[in-house]
Amino acid sequence: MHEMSICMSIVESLEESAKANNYKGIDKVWLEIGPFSGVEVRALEFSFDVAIRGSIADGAELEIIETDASAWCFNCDEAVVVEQRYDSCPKCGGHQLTVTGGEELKIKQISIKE
Amino acid sequence: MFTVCGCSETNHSHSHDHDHDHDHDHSHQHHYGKGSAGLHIAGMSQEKIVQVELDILSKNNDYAGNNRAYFLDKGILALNLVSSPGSGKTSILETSLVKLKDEFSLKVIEGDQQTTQDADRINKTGVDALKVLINFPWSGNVRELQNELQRAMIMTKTDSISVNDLSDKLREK
Repeated sequence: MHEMSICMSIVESLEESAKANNYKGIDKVWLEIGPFSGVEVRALEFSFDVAIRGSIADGAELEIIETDASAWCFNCDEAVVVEQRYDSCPKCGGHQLTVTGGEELKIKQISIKE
Repeated sequence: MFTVCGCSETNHSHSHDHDHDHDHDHSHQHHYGKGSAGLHIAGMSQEKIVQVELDILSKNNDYAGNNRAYFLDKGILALNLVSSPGSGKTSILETSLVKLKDEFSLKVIEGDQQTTQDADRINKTGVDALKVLINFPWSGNVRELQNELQRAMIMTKTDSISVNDLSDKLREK
């Protein structure tokens, strides 16, 4: 259940950001999560509601933007979208791929009360 | 045009950086800068979308990087044993500690949140088990534990951490 400590880090970042910019509150948070981030979205949603209690983001809504995983195919010489690690290239079927994206785990944007 | 759109229930699939005329094909109404009361007063509470792009794990990655550098510098091999309950982590430790304790300086951190059972087993093999650390109700973040351990490593006069090297708040528990 490392989603709980991830949520604590999110709250910590939000608190810092709010302090630095004088936000009075945060009522919505958009998270960008890649398929290789190692995060279970359902567990994260559950933990989020608990973690924000009493924080600057108390009661905030959570919206999760799930991104695609991308890889570079050396055969096609271009970027392709993959579903999981060790997938073959969706275009040429080759395996000369290197994963280039999908590990994102970040706060994309927030809705603030000033 | 970056603006306060004031919407409380929005579907923000649009971006706020357009400067063309507003032929929006999405469903919500723009009422720039106006909250539910329908008017805008400078400096009063308004909602605003802010792009932050904060990497959540960047701090953790920094800590991890520092740890790796520290271990490398001191010639420490750190192993993290993670597996299902009952699969034999503590058994492996018990056996290897007995065999290796004269050859290497060994430290074990038992991360069982529920019991001290494993810590007790490790204790019998002559390596410091940190019961106090295990019993302390860590409030959810591993950094707190990290800081405590760093402190203990600085405080200790020997090459092992004893209860006396821990901070007061832990010893009181």
